[in-house]
Amino acid sequence: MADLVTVTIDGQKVTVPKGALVIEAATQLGIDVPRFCYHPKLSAVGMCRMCLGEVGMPKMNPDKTPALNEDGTPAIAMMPKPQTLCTTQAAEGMVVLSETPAVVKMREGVLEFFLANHPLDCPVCDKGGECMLQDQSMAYAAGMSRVQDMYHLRKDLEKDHPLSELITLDRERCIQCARCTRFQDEVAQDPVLELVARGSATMIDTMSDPPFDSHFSGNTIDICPVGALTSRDFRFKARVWELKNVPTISMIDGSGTNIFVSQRNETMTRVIPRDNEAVNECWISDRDRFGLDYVDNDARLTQPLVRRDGTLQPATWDEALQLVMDKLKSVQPQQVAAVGSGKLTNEGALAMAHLFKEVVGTPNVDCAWQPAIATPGKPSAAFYEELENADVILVVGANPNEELPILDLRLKKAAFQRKAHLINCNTYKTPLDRVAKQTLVHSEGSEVALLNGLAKLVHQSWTDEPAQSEALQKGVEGRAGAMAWIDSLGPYSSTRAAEIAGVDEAALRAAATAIAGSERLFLLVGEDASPATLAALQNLAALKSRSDYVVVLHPEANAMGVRRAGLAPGEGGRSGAPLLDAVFKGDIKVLYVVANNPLVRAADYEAAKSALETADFVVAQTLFQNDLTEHSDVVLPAATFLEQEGTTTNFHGKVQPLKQGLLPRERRDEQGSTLSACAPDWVIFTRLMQLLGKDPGFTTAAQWTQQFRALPATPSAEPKFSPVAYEASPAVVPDGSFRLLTGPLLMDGGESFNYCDRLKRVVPEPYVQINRSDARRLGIEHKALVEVKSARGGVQVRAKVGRVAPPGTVWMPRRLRDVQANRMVETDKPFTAVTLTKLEDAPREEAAHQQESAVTSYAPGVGERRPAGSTQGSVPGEQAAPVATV
Amino acid sequence: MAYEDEPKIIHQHINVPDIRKIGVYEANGGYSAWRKALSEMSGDEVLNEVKASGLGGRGGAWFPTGVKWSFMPKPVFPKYLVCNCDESEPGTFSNREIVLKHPHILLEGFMLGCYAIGCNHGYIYVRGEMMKGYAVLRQALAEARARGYVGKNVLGSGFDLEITLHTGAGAYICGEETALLSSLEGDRGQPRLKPPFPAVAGLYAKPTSVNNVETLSNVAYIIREGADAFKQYGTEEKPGMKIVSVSGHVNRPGNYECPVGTPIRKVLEEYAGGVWKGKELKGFYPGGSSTPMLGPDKLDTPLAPKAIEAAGSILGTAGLCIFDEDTDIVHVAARLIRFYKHESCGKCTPCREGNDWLVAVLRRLDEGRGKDGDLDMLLDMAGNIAGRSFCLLGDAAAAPVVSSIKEFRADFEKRITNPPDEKIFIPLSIANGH
Repeated sequence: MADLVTVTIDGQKVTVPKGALVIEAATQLGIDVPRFCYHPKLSAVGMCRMCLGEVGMPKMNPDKTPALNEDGTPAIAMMPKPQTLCTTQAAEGMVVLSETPAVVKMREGVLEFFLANHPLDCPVCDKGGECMLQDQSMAYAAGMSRVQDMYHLRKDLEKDHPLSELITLDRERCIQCARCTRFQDEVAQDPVLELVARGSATMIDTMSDPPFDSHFSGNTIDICPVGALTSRDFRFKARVWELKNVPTISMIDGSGTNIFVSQRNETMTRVIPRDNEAVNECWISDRDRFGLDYVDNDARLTQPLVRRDGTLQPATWDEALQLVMDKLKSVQPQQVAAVGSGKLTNEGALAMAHLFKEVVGTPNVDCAWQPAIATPGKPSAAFYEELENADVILVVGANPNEELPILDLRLKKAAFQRKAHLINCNTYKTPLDRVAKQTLVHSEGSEVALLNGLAKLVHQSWTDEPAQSEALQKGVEGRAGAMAWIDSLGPYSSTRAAEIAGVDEAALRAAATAIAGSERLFLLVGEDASPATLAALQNLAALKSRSDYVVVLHPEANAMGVRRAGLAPGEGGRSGAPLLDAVFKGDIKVLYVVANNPLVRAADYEAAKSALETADFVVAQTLFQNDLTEHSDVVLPAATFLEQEGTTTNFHGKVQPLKQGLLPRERRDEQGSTLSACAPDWVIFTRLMQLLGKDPGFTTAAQWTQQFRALPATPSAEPKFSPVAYEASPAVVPDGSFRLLTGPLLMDGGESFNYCDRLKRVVPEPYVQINRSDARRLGIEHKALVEVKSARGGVQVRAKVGRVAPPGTVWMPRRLRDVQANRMVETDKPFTAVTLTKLEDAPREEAAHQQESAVTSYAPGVGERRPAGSTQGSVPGEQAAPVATV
Repeated sequence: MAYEDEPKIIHQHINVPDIRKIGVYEANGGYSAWRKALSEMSGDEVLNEVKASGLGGRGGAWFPTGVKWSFMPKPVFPKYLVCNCDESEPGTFSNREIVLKHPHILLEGFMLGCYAIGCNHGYIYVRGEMMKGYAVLRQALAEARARGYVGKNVLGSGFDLEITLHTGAGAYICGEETALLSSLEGDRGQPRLKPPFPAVAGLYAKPTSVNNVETLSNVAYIIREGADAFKQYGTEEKPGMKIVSVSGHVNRPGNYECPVGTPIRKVLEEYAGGVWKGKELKGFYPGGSSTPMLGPDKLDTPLAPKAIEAAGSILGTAGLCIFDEDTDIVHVAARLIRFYKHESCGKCTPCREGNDWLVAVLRRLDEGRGKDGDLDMLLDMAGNIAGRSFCLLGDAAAAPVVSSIKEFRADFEKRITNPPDEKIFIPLSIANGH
């Protein structure tokens, strides 16, 4: 336990850990200390000077004993100048005065300075009603301005200076508290905002391309103490006190982000974070904030559609469900397949599993089109708290910045603020590398060799020092299979493991040393990793007795919950590619797809397409008409997670309640009476059960929730050892070709983006990442148009030249707008080889801009040393990509 | 005794022709202290000698240099010594002359400082506007390197020393030591929170000492001649010499090195030739424009920190700025506050916003559009800046306003009651800025 100190604030005593800030101690006592720049999640800077107070320390006699007043109370020496309480650390015996006339005058002074130039356009300001300047002016300002006769001298600045497609800056309202820049630097670790100019001309601006390039930019709106940074989506839409805030969970990704959905007149107006220290603290990603607009879109399906005479035509729920029921009855149970997704709620998934597995009786049930691994153990209930306190974190095959933004923030916090030793293993460079101690960019498919090599080194470090680790060693080696496993590590010397994986041996050894010395190890692995990789990780975890700390990072919102609910193949059940193959061959006649689209998410686009084309009967339970519904016989309009009650399970197993924020989308006649509406998934499945004569008797989501909670809990993982061997692939990349790597993107321009007017503007143009050295060799410059072609097909995209893809490979998003990697990937081969052909130079203005910036953005002072030939943006030792000459 | 004949420390050889060149400097005893230290003394002995000499920081704070150096934790490496050559205070120009005319005395002192604290890589942060000084220093450093005074294994002593020159980008605030360090690291030139103090976590978060040019230029003398020789000058409290930069309405403006404790009257009347054109003195800043203004009755105050403080001002950098009887004090205040407004870094509210409004109010006063109550408002606003701001720039900005109103309130009131028909423009040496 940390040392405790007692401080006296305005006569009240409070005990806090030594080093705690006085402003926090005051908050504990319920004393309001006004502040602007201070934010508990950011470093304290003491810039706004609003929290000034008088601080004194006990006087000491020359013999180091506390000096006493005549009445025996400790004598206090007040500091000559007022101190900012947000930067003053509590110390034993400290006395703080925050209510004296002098302090009152200081606050009036600071507020007068703020308000002298503030536009006071509160009546039209989006922040009005939740503005710190407004509140604190009411509470602490003098009331009258002494400079009102000089109003004509007030700064006259830009009112609408867009920082990005999502956020705009009102320069008049900005009070230069640097909360936004500190958030970007410290929490998001995307340092794309900066204060520019100086003195009273200081302002916020962004220099990145695209501007304000961060997945967390929206949080700066929340932490802005005034209305300077506002959402371009919410701008002038509503006054905040008119909004009804519904607390719910975002099911955009697997983080389980807590949000408020604000609605006015039953229309969604904005999404803001809801504090939950156990999940998202007070942050949300831009995808959560701006990416829910699709729920409130007129393109939503509100009525079932049934294929008649080759076209989809509106039908009533009864007609559509009757048709589905008839079809289900007319085929053998094994001829039915149902595929859901992690977008279902726990209740929807449980009802679906019950309907197809119990009522219909088919084992062909799944929640994905590609095999995925699952967390073997039971993640800690205090997952993030433990993660932040981890000493070593090993991340394998994941890119949290694009998949699980909230986890990304926590990892950055653990590594940057708590100094955890982060080891990032992936086949390409990810944003996490910025905070990682070791970056092991390894060749694709070599994970097992890499992890076995690590495990061998860790085990070796014990045998090297037997005295220290005898007990440890006995504990582990006594377990079943341990010795056999240790023997199986024989071939994975560090040299060989490093050679197979193509990583630096010294880095591998450093990583192993960190793991060997760790006490609180975390092992995080991406969902797409192979089962062998997971097994190798589990071995490593068992070696460190941390089996419950192997956590699979599911990017889908409820991936854990739907699996627990039973959306997994039953005995003899088909899934993935074999399932599509069975549909194609006619072995499966009815394909029921829920909140999923095989054309986008199957590993092989062509396989999915031909399966859908030949399928006997396809039911799509979905939100919008899309390429799947074109192949469907019945389309059922489903409700989104915002329109229903229920629960969802995030990737670390936390079950959280959903609240109905909006009424299910409806279609009304001219008089306003409801004609038809979409329905929650569990309602549709329950109705189908009734029609099939197996009524579960449930009428509310809560009843399904009860069923879900009654499911057996995941047991803790037993430490176990299972030898896994690296299997070298004999295939090599042909000369002149590149190995195709793919990965996730948060802003991928998927289906829902079409219905998010604001967010779709930040989706980048489709691109391919090419290594600098390869690009130079091929004469491909940044932003040139290239064709990427595999044996299966090709796409024309813009080149991004950098260091994301290792030499000899190219990296493409799995999906970006209408460019899907699954149209190019050769699933029958260990990897896909592609060729690059340059079609077109980079756009002229781009090239011109680059050249210009190389000249003007760096203006050295006279006599300043400037290395010959240095260009803007080039990395030492590596020449910048050649710029096309215009 | 004429000024030229009086004993000096830094200025002893400053007028020797070509003293900028290392050969001439060596012929006049240059680098003998550096050789002596490397061959005969340990770093601690150098430090103790400086400590014993009582040398105080000439950048304005007068904190004992040896004590400052001894604050740096011994076992932490690397450590840094940074020379603050960002002299930007209006009315202060002593460093400039040293750098331009006598760069080796600075370099030698700097090397000795590095040796004293065990720093193997020192930085000299040169004000961006001081381009010529930078060129001179670069030349001098190249000469010293050629002689083997800088580099690996200096003069066979086993001590490695690298010195890097860095130019600022033109900001007054970078003379504040933490802002200087931020700027040196490549960040915005803005002050940092203290604690941690630079002695604990300064440049690149390592123990750092930041010392003024004039302070370091004294070190070679102390090592060569000993602490006692240094202590024969000056007062008990602050031994040694101080270069006084005299500017304004005097007959012979310039830098005059005189013992600490010399009365201001002596500097003004004997060295600088008295107030120009036979006029009377109206007032003066004793230590650069950020120190409160004093009237003619304080002319007999000795130039020593405590004495000046007792007189109601600060010795600071001893940039003595003289105003004759015809000076328009309102205009002086208005002009000075414009400087501080321009140089405010914008980090904290009082300085960023407050100086804006001081400028606005003082300008209208100066132009004869002042109102009743403006003076009290100015004093109150200045009071809301001084002591409330992040660093001392706020105090520096408020001081000339407050002190000139206090000292010459009648002038200000007259400007409100009897506004001039036409604005009077009086050239001031300190107004030659923007």
